[in-house]
Amino acid sequence: MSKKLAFFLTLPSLLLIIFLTVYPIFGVFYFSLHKYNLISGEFTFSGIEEYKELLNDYLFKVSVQNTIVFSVLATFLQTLLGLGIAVIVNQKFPGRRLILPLIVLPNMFSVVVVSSMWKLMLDPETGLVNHVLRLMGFQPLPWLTSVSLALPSIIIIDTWQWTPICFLIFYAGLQSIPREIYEAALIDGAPPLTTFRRITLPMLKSHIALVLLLRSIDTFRLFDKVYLLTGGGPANATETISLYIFKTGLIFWEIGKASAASFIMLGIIIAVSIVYVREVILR
Amino acid sequence: MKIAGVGVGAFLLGLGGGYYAGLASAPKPPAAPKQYTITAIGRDAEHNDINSGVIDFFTRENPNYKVEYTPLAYNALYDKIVLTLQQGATAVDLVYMDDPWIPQFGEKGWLTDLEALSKEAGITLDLGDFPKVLIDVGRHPYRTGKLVAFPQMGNVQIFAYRKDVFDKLGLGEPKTWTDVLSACEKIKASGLVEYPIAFRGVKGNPVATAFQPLLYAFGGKILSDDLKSCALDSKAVEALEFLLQLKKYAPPGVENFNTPDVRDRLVGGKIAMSTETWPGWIKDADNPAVSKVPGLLAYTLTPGERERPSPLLGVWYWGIPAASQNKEAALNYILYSASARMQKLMAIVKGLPPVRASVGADKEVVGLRRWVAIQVQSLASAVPRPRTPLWSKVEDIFGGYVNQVLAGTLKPADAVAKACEDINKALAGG
Repeated sequence: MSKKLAFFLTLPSLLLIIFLTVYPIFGVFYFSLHKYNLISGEFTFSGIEEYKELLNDYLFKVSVQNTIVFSVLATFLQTLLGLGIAVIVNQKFPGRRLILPLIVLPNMFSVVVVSSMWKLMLDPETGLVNHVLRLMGFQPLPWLTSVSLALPSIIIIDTWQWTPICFLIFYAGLQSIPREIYEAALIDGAPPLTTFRRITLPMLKSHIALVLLLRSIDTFRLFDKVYLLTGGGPANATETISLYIFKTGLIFWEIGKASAASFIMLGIIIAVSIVYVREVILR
Repeated sequence: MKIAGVGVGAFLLGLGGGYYAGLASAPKPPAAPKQYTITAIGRDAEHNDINSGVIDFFTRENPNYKVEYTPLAYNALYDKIVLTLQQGATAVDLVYMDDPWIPQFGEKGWLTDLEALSKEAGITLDLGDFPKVLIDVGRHPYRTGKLVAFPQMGNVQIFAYRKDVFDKLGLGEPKTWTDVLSACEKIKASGLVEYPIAFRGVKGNPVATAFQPLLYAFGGKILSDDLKSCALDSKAVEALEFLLQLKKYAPPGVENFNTPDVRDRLVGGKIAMSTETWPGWIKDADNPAVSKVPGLLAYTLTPGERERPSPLLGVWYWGIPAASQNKEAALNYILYSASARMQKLMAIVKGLPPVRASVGADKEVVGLRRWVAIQVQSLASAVPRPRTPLWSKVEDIFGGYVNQVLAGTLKPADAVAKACEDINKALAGG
């Protein structure tokens, strides 16, 4: 196939990507350099003024901090649990095939269902979680209403919902590792932990990188669960960048400021992605 | 069952009843066979139920009219209206608006002057049956400007309390917030109800809305009269300290409570009072199929303190986009929907909080929906949200700080100082 033909065949997809991705990114960047309010009609060039304002905005700084904490902890937990479950399920034991669909089940629910369900379960008075705590002799906890517990609670909920996806990726990776390598290690007398450290982990490196990349990007965009469960409270403890952008752009209609915040968020996600892609996947 | 029976009767009455009353010289829709299609965007949930009911009556009685109604959730509706009006789209003929949105849309000239349109159409508007504040709010600028929005659903805060519990403890109807606090102490001591009181505490609009009647009763206000600066002062600090007193009697986690958390506890018999109650929350409170307190709730005006009771207005309005191509037909629908006959029918059948004083005084309506009398009375003394296009931002800031006080991360005085700083910045365009 000539290079020309290949180019023309990929051109429609390329144009579509440019129209749906590159153009909006430039659009957002353009708006971020303007004071643009849809209600007042103000639209004036302001350079990096909106960025400066954001960096001085307490709520934005809190939302960036919360988003980073959430993203790092949720990604770490989900990767760790997904890997652990995949390693266990990869062993041969009776009923393994029955367990697989159960593990994947949480990811089949919509976010609204998951949030409503967990809101009921974490209710301080009538929730199942506190009921169990009481039965075990512990004090009930204000899961979603305490400044210190609200964000960890959302991390737990997100981990419950998204660990299955991490598990599936790792499980597929484990299935692709040749059995002979493990058999050779067994003959050489390698203990299980060494086998895991020296064989499983290196062989799953690209899978781990993929999971970290996908979950970092997704957790960084946290919006729906926070919107449904806490509205960003209590006392801004669960305010995230996405929620901040939503309110600024679609409630206050400050398109310039919302665009600047979106661009900062995009910058952070791209930076994280580049690190993963360069350090792990491309090697 | 009783309501359902009357509902069916009212429906038949409506079908045979001919033309609507209440707007003295409103002409009947054009008799010519010309077909009209009105496109409307409005709210979902109970609003959809009510508006669909009106549309059903309207199109049956006016077969040459077709009304296409798209129900949307609160935020989605707001976004859709802003984008539609901002683009000058001609596809929408009717928009259903929460009252704080009117200054934003009015300021941009996005809405049709309904009085001028009526005049053109040869209709004399009789606004005498509506509480004055509803018409004032429908004007832009507030009170003095053109009528750009017509009241449809008379949402307003009222105060609901457990009459049986109050009677057992020998407590009278709470007239002030001090009465409420004192009742809380006695109810807690009695153990008659799980918790004496609850309120919406989640950050942003919910807690800001729940707290405002208390703030106003203590003599405080959020914005200065010219709407150009923050007016929160020591009275706001006092009101916040009072809110913290009430919090002691509320269920744990109240700082994260939203509408369902308060409404379900009130109708589920788990609390004796709520600092605010909206008609939609208790419209079926006397129905034993959905309520654990049928006949046990009593309703009164939101308490006062140093100032008179100041319930917050949350009325929904119809407006006609300036770019609509179907203005006269849309106006006919609005007047039909707000007519005394339709307001009465919808109040009985669907639990609509009416916007007309005459409906609030109607014995049939009040007999079936006990809260309507207080609701219409509350409309007359209601306080609208400050009429600035920047209200949504101011409210978000204010609600954020009130939530921080409830969560215990800020002291009332610090919250007021910081809120004022941020509100002033927002008003200055920052």
